[in-house]
Amino acid sequence: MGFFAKPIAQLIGELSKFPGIGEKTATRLAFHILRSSREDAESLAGTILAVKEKIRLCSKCFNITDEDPCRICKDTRRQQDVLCVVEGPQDVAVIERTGEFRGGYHILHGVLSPINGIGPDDLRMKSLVRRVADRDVREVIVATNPKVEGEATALYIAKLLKPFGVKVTRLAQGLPMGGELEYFDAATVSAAIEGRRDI
Amino acid sequence: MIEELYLRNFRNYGEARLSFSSGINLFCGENGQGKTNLLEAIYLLGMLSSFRKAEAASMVKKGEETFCISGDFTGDGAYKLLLEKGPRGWEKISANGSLYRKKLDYLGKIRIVVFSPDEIELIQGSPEGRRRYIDRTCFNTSHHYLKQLKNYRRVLKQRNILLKKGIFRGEEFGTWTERLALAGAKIVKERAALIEKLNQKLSEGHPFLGTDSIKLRYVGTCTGDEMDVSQGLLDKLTSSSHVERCRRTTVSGPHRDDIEISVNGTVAKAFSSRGEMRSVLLALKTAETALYDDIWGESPLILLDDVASELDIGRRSALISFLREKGNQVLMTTTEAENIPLFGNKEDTLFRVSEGKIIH
Repeated sequence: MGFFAKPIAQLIGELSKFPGIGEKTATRLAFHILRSSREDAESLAGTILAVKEKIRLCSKCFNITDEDPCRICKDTRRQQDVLCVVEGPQDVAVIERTGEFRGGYHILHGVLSPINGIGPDDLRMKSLVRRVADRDVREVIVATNPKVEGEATALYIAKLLKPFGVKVTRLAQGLPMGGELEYFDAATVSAAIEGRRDI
Repeated sequence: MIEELYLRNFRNYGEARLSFSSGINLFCGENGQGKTNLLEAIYLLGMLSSFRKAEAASMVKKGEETFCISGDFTGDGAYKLLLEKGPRGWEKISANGSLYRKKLDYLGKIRIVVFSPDEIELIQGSPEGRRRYIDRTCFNTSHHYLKQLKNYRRVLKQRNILLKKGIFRGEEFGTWTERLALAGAKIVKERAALIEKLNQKLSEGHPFLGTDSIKLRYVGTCTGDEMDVSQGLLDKLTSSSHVERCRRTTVSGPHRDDIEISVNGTVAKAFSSRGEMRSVLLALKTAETALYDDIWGESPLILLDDVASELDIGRRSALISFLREKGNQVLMTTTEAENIPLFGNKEDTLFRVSEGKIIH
């Protein structure tokens, strides 16, 4: 990167730290910023700083928010007795987009994975137990990813909440909408067979 | 079947292109000329690993950086498979022009059964080799098995890390133990079902061991249906807790199971002469071949490495007429063409191999 003046080389260096951004893309982005107007560059810099300054975790559900409690936790029209447990804030956005779910959330910020040194104490487990114990929660829906770690985390949560007599459910696994059976891999189809239901 | 094979900088080949016929394709040449390399290349195309115990990195021709193999297959579907491997691993894995990033998605397009001198390890060697054989065969009969196996291994790894850290009780550890039992039961179920099918094929008779009966038995922590096995594994894991605490690793489960091969009720390992072991292997491999026939409605590709040195003339004839009858395409190596009985039909082809070159 010795071909570029130091400030642009530094910008390329910073941008290439982003996930999925290699040196080539970082160079393109850096030159885009260089060519853009001063206002645009200031706005970009300001937005990045604002994210760091204004965003914090909701003290109830641990979603990222700029007000505490977050908008979802504050909304009294939502069901107060159902909680959906997810791995990260992005998952909340996906579920919200469906409009199917009108309860509260609890964000773990990860899944159990000893390989990565993540145990229950590194996740928001204790606060989940506290929420279930303090409030009149009827059902906890565990929406962790259907991977080895997500499944283990779901099982752990079920064990953890057992003493409280709350209903713990898991998102169904199976066929995606609008697909054709012949194109799915065997693992997906066999999960769907296992999770079949009466009609 | 495979119609064409192209190699570049693979082992001792600079560049080579071969067109095969539907019967027996015989690679004939002195030792060390590159006959087995051709079988290895074909196997690699199908399985992304070698049947010889070798890393693909060492398969690059001396002085070169990357090798390329491609092959045209027809049958169940038409596939043009292409592999490129460089110093940093696979650079290109593609089928019909589409690139595959995950090996798992690429695998399973063609089925290959190998008979090579190393295979004797299946009887003589450690349980690991037998587990690998049974896992590969399970995958060839149902492709989602590999995913289940990967899941099991992942849970196992997670649990072993906890044990290494000295965590062997509590809710967290219990969770991983339960997940391991569930994932393990799926593996045991698939393996046991496969062994039952192979036994069925073995009992239908084979031309290699006269009237002797060959039987496989799954030697595992527990048997029964999936629920039973899962519960059994859980009990076993709980009861062997003190051993795990000392050794700091998971000591029971499908990753420690074995497959017992017996002839007329006696374990093959214990009594067999080398010749008998060969016959047992042949019977097993032909049972595997017949199984693929049933499931996929298509005969697998047969690779025979140097069978002349391993089998007497009677067994050689029996094997070749068996394969001819079944209509399998065969690719085989030999030092002397005369050693191969029944060779020379119109659907057969002879390739002379010398110093990494094909002389037609």
